[in-house]
Amino acid sequence: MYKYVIKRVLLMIPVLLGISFVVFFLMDLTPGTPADIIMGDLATSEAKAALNESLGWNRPFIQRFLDYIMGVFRGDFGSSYVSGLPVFEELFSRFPTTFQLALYSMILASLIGIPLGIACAVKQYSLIDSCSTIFALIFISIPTFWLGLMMIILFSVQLHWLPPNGSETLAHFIMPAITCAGTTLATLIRMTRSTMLEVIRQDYIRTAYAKGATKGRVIVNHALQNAFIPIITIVGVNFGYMLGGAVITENVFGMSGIGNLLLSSIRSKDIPMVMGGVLIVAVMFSIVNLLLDICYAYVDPRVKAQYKKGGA
Amino acid sequence: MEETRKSKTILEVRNLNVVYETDLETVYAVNGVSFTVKEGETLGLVGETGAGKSTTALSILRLLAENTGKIREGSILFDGEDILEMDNLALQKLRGEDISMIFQDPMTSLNPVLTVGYQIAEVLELHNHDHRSAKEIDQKVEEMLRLVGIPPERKHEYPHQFSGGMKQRVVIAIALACEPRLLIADEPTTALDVTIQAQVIDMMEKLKDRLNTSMILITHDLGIVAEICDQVAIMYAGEIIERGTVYDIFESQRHHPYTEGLFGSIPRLDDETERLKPIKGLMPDPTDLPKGCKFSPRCPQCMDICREKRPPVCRYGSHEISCHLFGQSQEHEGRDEA
Repeated sequence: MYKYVIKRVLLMIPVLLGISFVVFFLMDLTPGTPADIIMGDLATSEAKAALNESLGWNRPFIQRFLDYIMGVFRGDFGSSYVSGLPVFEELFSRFPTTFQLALYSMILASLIGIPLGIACAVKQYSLIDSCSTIFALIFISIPTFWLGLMMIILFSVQLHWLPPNGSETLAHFIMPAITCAGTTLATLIRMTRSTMLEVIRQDYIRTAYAKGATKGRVIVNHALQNAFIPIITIVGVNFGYMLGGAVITENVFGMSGIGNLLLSSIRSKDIPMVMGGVLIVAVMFSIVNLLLDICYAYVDPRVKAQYKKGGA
Repeated sequence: MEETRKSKTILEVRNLNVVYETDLETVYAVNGVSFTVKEGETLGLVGETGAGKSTTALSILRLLAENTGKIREGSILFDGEDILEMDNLALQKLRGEDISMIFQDPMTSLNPVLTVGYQIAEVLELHNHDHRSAKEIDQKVEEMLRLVGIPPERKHEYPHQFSGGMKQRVVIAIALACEPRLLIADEPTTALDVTIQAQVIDMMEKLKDRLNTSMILITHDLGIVAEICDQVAIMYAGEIIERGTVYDIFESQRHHPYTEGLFGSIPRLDDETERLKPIKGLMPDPTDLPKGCKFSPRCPQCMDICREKRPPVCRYGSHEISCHLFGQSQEHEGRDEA
């Protein structure tokens, strides 16, 4: 098992190198030089050329890329072209907001989505089943920005219950978390339902009933654990995505998260910032995926046996 | 002594009718099946795939698929009490403790994420009337594993670590853990290879004798029937078309044409024929069963009356055959069109 984890962590290195290369290359293809961004339109072309020279912009692409990577290995992510601040500091001042938003939305989506999905499967074709099907359909169809704006109108403008923007207190996260959770919630309800329906038709569920177990016991002891793999996959993958920043939600609620930062950095061709942002998102995503794979082993002994054998 | 013990009826199924209903169609799976099982006796339920054997067995434990399987008519008396009238609580007590079941496919009938020890212990915990402690239950689990020939140390292992034959032994251990009075074995050896089949059957026989359990053995293997059954019922298209003691079925001169067809499908070493004689045609569509005798479309001796009227039950002592071929003078029990 430990061997497997170490192997996976080491595998992250080539993945991150690959991602860095692709993003670095793409940024290089876009027009404009760093000096244009740093000095603006008013600077003379001589001054710009001098700055580009000192930033090493005129050297070959591969050399610049390798320099950047070496810097990253030393812990130096460079400084933002726009603000002049170190990328690392900027990212880590934003990360807590993104992390909290992702965490709260996932908790919200899981706490509602999973039990509701189970209830739908256990009482298939019942009132609760049809109601949550409609509920899920609504949540998956509503555009995120619209839901966010409507909530602001209702809860902030009309009722004055919640602050419309910012990210200082827990109250600031309530509406963004609901907005963000919507799609995941809908997916979770449907996925939990279909997985559970599949599981409760298995032979071993019938065996459990034949032993004289109550319905509740069969669901909790026999069905749930078997249904967990697809469920935690959805939770994990969505959590990973959200750690990369929820651009729309952050924009609607004026939150300064990673998504917003990345978007504005891409627009202004702030290469060090974009690179730093993409790398942190990639690292987070890889870590979440690794944690997921470890979770699988605890849920399903067959997966664990595979890991022990050293297979991937 | 043997005779008096066997005389008590433990299970009586009367005129059981089961359908599977969906929005699109209604499958008539079991159509008026009646039989009894006496204490310590083994009843073999024989027939092709789709004859309604498993449906009959599942109905006894009320384990039919919740949304589609429906028992339309009939009663199932266990010890004089109608299982079909029982509430959930009574059913939970009945299942696993009084009646338990061995399922067809050992590969899928064990929960893959729970240890085999837990799965055996569960049935003991659910019917723990003697207030056994966790340790005593653990001992009983080990005892059951030993009984079915699995080293007790392996109780912490998961089903995927066992072979098919061993999984079926675990299933049998679960079924027998509470020493049920009736054991329903639904094709317990179909998924196993021949050498393991013999072992499993042998083991079930021994355990049954030791615990004086009655058994319903569902199979399409006539060899196994001859070996361990006392009574045999042959099912076709949801009906019992012939019933009797093993002696009646294997030795009697009179048979339902379908039974003859079944026996004709088994290779014989003392016969010189090159090919087997399979029954021509297929089972009728269970959503649209033929009028009259269900076997009439395939029957080599079909008469006009067979297509019109349901055949009467003709009795020769313990031997019952539902077929128009056998004397109209016999006792009539067959109803006209249902």
